[in-house]
Amino acid sequence: MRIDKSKCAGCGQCIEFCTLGKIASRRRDPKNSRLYYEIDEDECVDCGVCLRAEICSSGALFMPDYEWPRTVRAAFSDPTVEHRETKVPGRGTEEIKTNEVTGRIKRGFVGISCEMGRPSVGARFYDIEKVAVALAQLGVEFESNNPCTRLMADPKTGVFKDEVRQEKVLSAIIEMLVPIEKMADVLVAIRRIAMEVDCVFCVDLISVLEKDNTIPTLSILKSLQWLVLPNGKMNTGLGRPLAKEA
Amino acid sequence: MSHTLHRRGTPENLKHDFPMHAMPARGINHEGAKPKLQEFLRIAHDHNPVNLGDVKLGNQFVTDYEELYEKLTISSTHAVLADESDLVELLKEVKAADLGMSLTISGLFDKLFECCAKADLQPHAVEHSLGVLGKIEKMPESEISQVTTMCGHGMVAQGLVRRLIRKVKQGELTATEAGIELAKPCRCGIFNPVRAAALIEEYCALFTISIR
Repeated sequence: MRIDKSKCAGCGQCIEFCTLGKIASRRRDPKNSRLYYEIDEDECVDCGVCLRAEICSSGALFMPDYEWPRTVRAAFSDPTVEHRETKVPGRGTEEIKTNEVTGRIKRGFVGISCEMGRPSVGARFYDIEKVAVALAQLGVEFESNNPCTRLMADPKTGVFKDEVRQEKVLSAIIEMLVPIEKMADVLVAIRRIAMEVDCVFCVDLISVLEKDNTIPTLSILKSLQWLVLPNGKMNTGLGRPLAKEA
Repeated sequence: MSHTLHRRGTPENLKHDFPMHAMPARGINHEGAKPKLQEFLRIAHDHNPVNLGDVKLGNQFVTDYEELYEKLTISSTHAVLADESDLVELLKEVKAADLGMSLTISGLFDKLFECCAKADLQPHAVEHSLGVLGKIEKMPESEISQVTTMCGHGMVAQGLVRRLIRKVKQGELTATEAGIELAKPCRCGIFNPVRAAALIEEYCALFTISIR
């Protein structure tokens, strides 16, 4: 996103719509002493929220016609934009939402995701890569139909394409399938690598319920002394046709 | 993505918050899904939703119900309920309609299991938020995050929350109006404006403002 300084009235209304907080600075034009705002484009993730808010009465905000690899920013940050490069819409896959139909996560497996940059901080792909490489070393299988995986030069190593490493996005999801017996190792690795990144990330865990609604992963979380929050998400099992159990 | 998973809050302020997604599985049952999702939207509309939406069309505060219904896409249909008895009735009706669309609901797990049992549903899977790791000092303060995390895509700006607290404190808006303003940037319609209004009202007593 960019501000046309010749049109900017210097009111600063737009900065309150920045999903990352303060990435714009107030400047004074030395030629005419007019105040204007300037967006730090290297920090901006092109989410488009400020533009869609239609808060700028002077029409100074605009989205330049960016080229690859800059285009990954909007693709990962603005839910109204589809991934032109990867052809996969959204930030992740259908994950738990349709699992009773797709059967992607079967009993004996769990789905684990690291939502890099979420919430409200954003992440560079070089940080996303640190987490992906640490997990790849444990032999996890990254979800192939995920836009983040598609940007990896090699999904077996978790290494990303050179040209995207410096790009920053509001969030990008590293999504993987893990046998339940490996879950503790993966979570320990995630906890360790979290100390080496310069961003935040949310961690998700999908568990298929037993017939009596027992959650098979709770005892593992307890053994890791991992805090279990009282709220979360539930697939109600209403989708049809149901996937066949392996 | 796990859109509605990471809503931050207390058990007390999360107990009236049930965002949900109805959707087909791409490549399996997406053909002919539109009338089924329209029927889900109609059912949701009958059970006192505080928000409805479709990522491509917007939420109910930017696109009215009739237009949402007519133009509904087959990506994912969203609704937010604030009352557990409404949720039970919705689940019963969706089950009876046998739409075959997947339905995922977020909320306090004990409430979700209870509501599914009352509607005679056998849930399939759960997703836990294992929290936020990394440089958490870069995040906004926890009060602001309780509001901003109601949009999983992160479209509700922290500055907007502060702006609206200021406007409510100055008497320019009511907390209810501020809740609706906060819901608008969340295109999908999974933001809960009623919970946001209650939080804003609470924050008015906690936050100070400076008059320039």
